[in-house]
Amino acid sequence: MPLKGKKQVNVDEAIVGILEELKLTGDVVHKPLRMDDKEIELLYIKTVVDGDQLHQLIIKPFFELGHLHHVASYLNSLPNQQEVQSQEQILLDLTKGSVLVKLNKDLLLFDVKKVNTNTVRETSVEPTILGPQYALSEDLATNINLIRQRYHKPSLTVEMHEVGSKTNQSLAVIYDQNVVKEGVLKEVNSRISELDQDIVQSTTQLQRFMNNRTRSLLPTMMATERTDRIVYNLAGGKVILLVDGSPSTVIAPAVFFDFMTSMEDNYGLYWVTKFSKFLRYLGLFACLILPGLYVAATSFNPEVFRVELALSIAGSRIGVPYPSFVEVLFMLIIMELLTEASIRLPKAVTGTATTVGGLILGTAATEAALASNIMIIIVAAVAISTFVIPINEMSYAIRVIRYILLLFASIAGLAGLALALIGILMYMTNKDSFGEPYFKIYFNQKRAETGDNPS
Amino acid sequence: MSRYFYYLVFVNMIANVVASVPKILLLEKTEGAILSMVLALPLGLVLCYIVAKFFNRFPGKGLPEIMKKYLPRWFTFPIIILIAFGWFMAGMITLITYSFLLKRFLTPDMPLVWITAIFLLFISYGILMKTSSVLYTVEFVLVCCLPVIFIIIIKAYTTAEMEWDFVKESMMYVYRLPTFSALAASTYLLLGGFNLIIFNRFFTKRKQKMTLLQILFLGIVAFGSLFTTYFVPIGLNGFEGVETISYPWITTSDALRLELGIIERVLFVFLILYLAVSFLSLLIHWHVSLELFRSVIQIKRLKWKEKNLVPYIIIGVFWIISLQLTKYLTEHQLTIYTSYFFDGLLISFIAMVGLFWFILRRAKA
Amino acid sequence: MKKRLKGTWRAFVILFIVGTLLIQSGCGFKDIDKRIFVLSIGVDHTDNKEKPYRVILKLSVPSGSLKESGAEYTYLIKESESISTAIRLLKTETDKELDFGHAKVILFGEEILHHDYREIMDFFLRRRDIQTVSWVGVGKPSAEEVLTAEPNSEMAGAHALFNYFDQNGVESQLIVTTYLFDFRRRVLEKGIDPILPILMAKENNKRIDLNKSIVVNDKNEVFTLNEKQTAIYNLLTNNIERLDIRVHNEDVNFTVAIDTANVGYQLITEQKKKPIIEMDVEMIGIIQEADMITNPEKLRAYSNATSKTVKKDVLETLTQFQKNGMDPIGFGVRYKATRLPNNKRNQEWQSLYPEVEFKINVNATLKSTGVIE
Repeated sequence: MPLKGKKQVNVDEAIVGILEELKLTGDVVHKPLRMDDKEIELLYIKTVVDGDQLHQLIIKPFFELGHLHHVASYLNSLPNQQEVQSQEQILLDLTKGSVLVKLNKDLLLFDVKKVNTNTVRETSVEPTILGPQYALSEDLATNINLIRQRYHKPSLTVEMHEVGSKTNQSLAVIYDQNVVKEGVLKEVNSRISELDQDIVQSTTQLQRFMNNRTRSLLPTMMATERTDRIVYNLAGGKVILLVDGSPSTVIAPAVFFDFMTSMEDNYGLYWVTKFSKFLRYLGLFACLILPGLYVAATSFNPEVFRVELALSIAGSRIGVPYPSFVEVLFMLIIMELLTEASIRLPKAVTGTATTVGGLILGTAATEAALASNIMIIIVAAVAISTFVIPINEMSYAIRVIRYILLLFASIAGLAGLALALIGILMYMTNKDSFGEPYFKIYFNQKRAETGDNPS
Repeated sequence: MSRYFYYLVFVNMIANVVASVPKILLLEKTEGAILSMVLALPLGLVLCYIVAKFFNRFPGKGLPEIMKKYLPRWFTFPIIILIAFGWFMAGMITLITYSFLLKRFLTPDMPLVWITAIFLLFISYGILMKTSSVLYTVEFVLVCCLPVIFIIIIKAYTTAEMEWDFVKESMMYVYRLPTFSALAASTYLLLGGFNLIIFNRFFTKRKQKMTLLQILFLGIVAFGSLFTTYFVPIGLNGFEGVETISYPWITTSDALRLELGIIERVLFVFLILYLAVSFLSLLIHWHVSLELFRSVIQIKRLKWKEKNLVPYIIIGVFWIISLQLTKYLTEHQLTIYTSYFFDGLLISFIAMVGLFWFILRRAKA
Repeated sequence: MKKRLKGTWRAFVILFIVGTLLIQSGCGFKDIDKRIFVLSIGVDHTDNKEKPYRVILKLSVPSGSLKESGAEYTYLIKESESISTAIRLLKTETDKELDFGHAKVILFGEEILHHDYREIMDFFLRRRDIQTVSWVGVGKPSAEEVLTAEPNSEMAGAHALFNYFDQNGVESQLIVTTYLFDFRRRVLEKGIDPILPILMAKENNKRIDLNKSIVVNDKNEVFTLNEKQTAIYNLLTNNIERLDIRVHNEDVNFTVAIDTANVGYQLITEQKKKPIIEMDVEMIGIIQEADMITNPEKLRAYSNATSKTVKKDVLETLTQFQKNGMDPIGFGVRYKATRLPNNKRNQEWQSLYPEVEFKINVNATLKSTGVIE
């Protein structure tokens, strides 16, 4: 019976005020329940409240229990009870799916919300062959349940915040108390409290907002939908952020090499894993430098490669009307358009797109002497190797970096390409992700080097 | 000793080729180059050991901080300016030599000033970085370059065209007395440790130890490096033919062929490798120089949007000096001035050892 | 630290990029279809006093699909007083830029060796784009004839001359491969003489033969080695491991295919005695062709016979070199390499070499008689 709130809320004023706020919307229910001399008032928004649960929990017992005292004790013992703090907080909770019960000059608040989005989905963005196939759902409680079921440790801590001044979504910050890095946690919390966005709908938006610089290219937090990756990162001392209504989480901090690991590495055999890691880095390297290398080797220093290759390139460029870097740019842009369009294609049209892209653009462009044979192969290789990178954000970033390298290769040839590569490397080593250096090779055990100051 | 210290030393060992060390040594091939190299090894190792031990006593602090703490201000200011200028010149030698190389072999149609400017552009970004970022960059690029270096070395020693008779002929001059310029040039390989005057800020743990085993390891690597730098060009170019080559190692690497490789002429592999290595060398030297200048030139008034403009002005001065010098120097002058620079460097480093001893006495008192 | 780099840096980069795009033309950007590749260069001597050099350039014409049409070449020929003048004039005769980056074969006419071949060699070395691993040779009857020959066995895209010299193509004991840097160091060094292969154009320029070589010494004298001497030279310098030797004396008559060969030598000079060069030749091989039934139990006798023949051949070749004052194997360098310098070593060797006595030890082992006896 005693109110646990910090402020005493004037009951009648509160109800009048709340009804005033909610009077326009048609799905508000303000119902008094009366039986003999027991009376309570219910106030809730019916579209977000689970009617069955409400009936089971509050309405039925009200009518079955004898005296109002019993009802009061029963209601106060329900675990769904929420704290009443202020009028604004009651309004907020009502919109989230709570029901307000006025009982004898007391206000009680219960959480009976109805969740429709709690189906666990299959992995669509990061599929693996041998690992778990289910990813997160779109409901916060279900997600936390999934994570906890994989990480049975009492030190797993969940902190709740609210983000978005207009949407007021819940944000959960999850970490393992024993292994988390204090500095990172403090940094994350301070940045969350600095957020002043109006609308936050997805965790991935936080990647942009929580960055100290508003314009950045390389991601410093990793977004994932896989529960096993989340759990591995939790065990490694990272902090997980989850926004209600979003099926992906964001892991902070994340360094460059995290973006190149796939969960498949943990489920395969040793040498197989090593080989596929090597392939991944090879793909990364290839898709970065191939266009620039083509321009440098064709227009600046054709004597670098073997004579047969030089003659072959010279032969395949017969009839192409414009310089090599325009040709490269042209083919790369078309490929980018193709990639971008295929995200939005309705399922019925995917087949057409592949045909158009593959056959027509490739062969026809060569026949029409708009591009050379070798260019087509290079663009195809580049396109395929871009998708070898497991995490999509890094893949997009690499696509942009490729153009920078192409620019420097067109200006200064091989020397420009090599210098620009080192320049990108310097940019990456200069970045840091929540205090962790972004690009550092760890030769000792990772923990030993990242525990204290690296030295 | 942390592996980052080794990287600083290794960069100097590998980048000596671009700093005209082989050319200076080969000029003295009949006048005692060999004995100078033999002498330079222990001298360099001793200097390396002294500098490492000294900085071990002050973990996490660079030379400017130590000097400000123990020595009077009127003394530290000119000394640090002098040291910073010396480091600036070391980097500039690498820059100008490599620009000449690029102009001559890789991109002959590009104006020289343009080549230097592109180099300077990336370097300017690099030296403004944090000290730890510079070290991580150095680590990664060195790890990537290591296999290429091995390929070139293995190819050089196992090619059928390497005539050991020429090498033996040059070794017959071992009894000639050493000359100072050859000694100074060979010691340059081992002077990478002196970069600690700024990079010590990164080593904040006290556990650095410089044991005899580590010195021995450095010594062996330095010996191999000196041997390769001096004798391989002789073996491949002939003893009497080697003195008229402008860039001994460029012609030497051009004499190697990867018959079954994608790039047939090892010359291009060599040039790209040395692009990376000289970039690293330049980055390290100018980072030290910039940090030294910044520690003594502190003008708080120059601000623009809350950013202190002093580093940018210093970089601007670097740009102007480098671009002017690239225009006016010829290759011959470059070699001669480099030789003088190395002589001065050896003397000043020995003087710096004296400075260390002086500081230690003050610190104990 | 992060904020410091943000704004100024970005503005600077943008200015830089805009600036570079505007002056794109001055950066050495030249598309590959505006270049034409020179594959080989030939220099002949003419009797014209004012224009003593005749320069031939062999250019490769790229074709759209190398699989359909074969390789096509064009030739540019010019006489002039120096090679750079010739090349400068030749540049005006094509519409594309001459690119020497793939020029891998340099041929001299034989007459050049009697005149100032050093000046020509100097030109090739000074240019940065001619590879220092180019192959050098002598063309008979003239460099022009050899270069303009297009053998039938040449495939599209692969220059026949490259395959001759590159050990990836044909491997033979009669081919001497000399790289440009090797040529240079032999010319400049006083203890060793340069040796060049001789290429001959036969059959109306449809075939190129390569089985002899030529040595030239300091005084511009030349000495031509025939096939056997070329093979022996290759053997003595450990250039080849496989060679064929024909053994023919009273009781035996067969050909041996040597599989591994190893040669080492020593100079022994003592006071008041003739200098001696002691050579040790080790060979292992099998019998390849025989005119008689070869008895496997007599392998030791056959080995001895082989050793005797080889010793005779080697002695004969070395004596020929000595008589003509040639030293392609490098005895002079070995002399200097085993004695402390006293500024007179070169002259000493000049006076010692004609007196040298050769002592050859050959140890040939025949492992089997082949597949049949």
